[in-house]
Amino acid sequence: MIHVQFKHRYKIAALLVLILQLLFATGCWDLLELNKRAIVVGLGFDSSPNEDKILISAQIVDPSNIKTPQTAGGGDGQPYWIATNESTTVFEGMRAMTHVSSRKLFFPHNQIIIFGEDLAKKGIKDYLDLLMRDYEFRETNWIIVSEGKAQDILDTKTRVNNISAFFIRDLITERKFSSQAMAINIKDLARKITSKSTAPIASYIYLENTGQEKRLNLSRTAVFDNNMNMVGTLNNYESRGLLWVLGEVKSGIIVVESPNGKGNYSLEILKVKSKIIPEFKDGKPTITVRVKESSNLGETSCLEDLTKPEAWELMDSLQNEAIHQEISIALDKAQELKADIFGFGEAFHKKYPRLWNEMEPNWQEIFSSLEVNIIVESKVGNPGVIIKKVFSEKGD
Amino acid sequence: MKLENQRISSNQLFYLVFAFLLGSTVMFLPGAMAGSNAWLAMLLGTLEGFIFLAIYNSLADRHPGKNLIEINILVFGSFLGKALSWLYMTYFLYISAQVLRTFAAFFAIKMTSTPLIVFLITPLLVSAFAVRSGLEVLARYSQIILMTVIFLFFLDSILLAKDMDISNFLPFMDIPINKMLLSIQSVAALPFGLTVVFLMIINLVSNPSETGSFMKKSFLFGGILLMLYTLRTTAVLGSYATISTYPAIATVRIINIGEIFTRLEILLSVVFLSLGFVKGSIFYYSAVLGVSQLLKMRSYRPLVFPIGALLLNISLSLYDEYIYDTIDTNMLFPFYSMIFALFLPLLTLIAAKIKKIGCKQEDGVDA
Repeated sequence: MIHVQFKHRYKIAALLVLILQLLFATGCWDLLELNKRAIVVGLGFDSSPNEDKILISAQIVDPSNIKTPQTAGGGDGQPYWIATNESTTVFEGMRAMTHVSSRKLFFPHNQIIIFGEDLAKKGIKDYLDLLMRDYEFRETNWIIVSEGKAQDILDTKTRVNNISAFFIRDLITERKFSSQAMAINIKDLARKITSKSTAPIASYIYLENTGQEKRLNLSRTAVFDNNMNMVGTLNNYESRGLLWVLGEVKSGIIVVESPNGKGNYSLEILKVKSKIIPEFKDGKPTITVRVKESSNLGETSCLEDLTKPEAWELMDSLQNEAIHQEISIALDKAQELKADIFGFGEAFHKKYPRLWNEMEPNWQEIFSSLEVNIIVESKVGNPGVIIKKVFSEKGD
Repeated sequence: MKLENQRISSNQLFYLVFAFLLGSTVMFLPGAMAGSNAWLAMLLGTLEGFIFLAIYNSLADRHPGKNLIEINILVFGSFLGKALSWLYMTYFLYISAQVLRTFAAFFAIKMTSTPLIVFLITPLLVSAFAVRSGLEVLARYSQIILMTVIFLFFLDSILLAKDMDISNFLPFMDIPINKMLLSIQSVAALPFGLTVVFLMIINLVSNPSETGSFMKKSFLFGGILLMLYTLRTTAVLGSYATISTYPAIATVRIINIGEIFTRLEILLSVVFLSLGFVKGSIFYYSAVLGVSQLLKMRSYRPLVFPIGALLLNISLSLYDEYIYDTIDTNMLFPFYSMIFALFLPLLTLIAAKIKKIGCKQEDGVDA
């Protein structure tokens, strides 16, 4: 018995020693210490005065300057630092940052990747590869094009969230409340590029000078051709036109003017469904876009009697027209740019794989003169918590 | 004289084969090169796998209580039978080395300064201990790990639900027919054709009459789960899956629920590691068992470490660059593996039928 117990104890002791050894077995070649890494949250790429070189700027979090309520007031430095470097390839430039940054750059927490418009117009094809190939970048990074230099965007002082990369990331997630800006992450961009016919798009951001301060504004949409050269931008309404077709409108306000010119209706978008139907009519490819939408009456300055059904039918038809209008201006712009941002080519590819092989080589030309039917069915539903108008027409 | 005294139940065989089929397959998704038609490649590949299974099952049914080597010797005579068996053993050793290398390559992507041999030795040592402790240990292990894998699969899928896009399954059949056939063949070869290794241990199942039906069951369930993985990957990634090295990992990397549920790929890496371990160990075990049987040893245990050392060396010298592995798994393996997965077993079966060896009434004579 004693012998057995001894053996048992010996086993436990051996196990403990083994477990203790795990503490030292954490690896020694690829060890990664948090305090030896510079955490990058935003990246910017700009064209450089030197031909065939690019200017890379990385926004690095500076933990010593992050203000908490307890430490507020101490030091007025920014919570980030922008490290910049000029190089021929992206990877080289990022590694060369170790000449100017005491810590090696660490990208898994990167949120946004901004390309300056100058560089975007020259083409960003060569700079995307690393972002997709390297393990440290996540497929969920947002791709953005900036008016002016990307470096300036990253270096803008932002309120509420004082690291601009996080601020911009939040702008992207909150854009769903207006649905007037496009957003795309690395994965979706790669999908658009691999589809060959679809023109890639990206968010667009610019600095706005209000007089008192400079602030960031994320709206509009940057449009690329299939070689990743930027060819143009869509304005806010065209952007929403694009999102209607893609079925990505989540919410937003449609303002329609009353036909008698007396005031506006502001309609809040609630639910959207869209469908792209490719067809051949007399051997000619055509597209039908079907959009179904329902909305609420959010605000009105009209003096119609809202208790009458006619008033609501009028709103429905006005809304149909407004959505139709947004889609068709987006379509006109896209056809003018010869950029199939809607993925109509992909729709043909999916439905008519064999015929598509013949269409693919000259798809750009086909697209620029493609016949598109837009069918919008929309409904204004809920009037809000008051049914009747507040003001009557007595004042007139 | 039995080399292995442990017996596994038919249920344990089911789990073992199930885990084996998922193996490293969940990581690469062999049908992925068929793009939007990956699911079709997976389906047809699974059906082809059932043809292999029918051959293995009828071989096992004709020779109850015998493993591959004994069947070979019985059918082809002592010399040819042994020669064939040695061929099988080299093949098993080679596959085991490849599975090991696949692990190492996966970790080497991120950890570039760690010598490759570290990634090879670590799983190999664990594997050696598993092999030393016998088949039942592996069977029990795969039972536990499968539960975790299935749970994680459904968890990931729920978190990915909002990123799925059904239209990614279109266009239907737009890829050239030879590419489609290649995808089907690689699905059939990669997880299903490899199950030929179970002929080595099929005589260790305590209830031989049930093995056939339990193998079928694990093929069915394994096929279904692989199919679900494929469907999910295509639905989430679309055409991106065709350019990705590890499509399944890329899928899970997409998960982002409120900036909290992110970076879940580590879970899939664990799945990959623990399932691949089963696969590699079974090949290792079969090679060790077979070699000691061919050398008429009393126990297989003295061979575990020598063969492990051999395995390590094969694994190290398999290829210099990753691209050779890709070319191998995508273009060559689906075909040369057929020698062992299809032709040799089929040949044995035909020869056994012609020579009328192993028919039911002759059981008493053969035993």
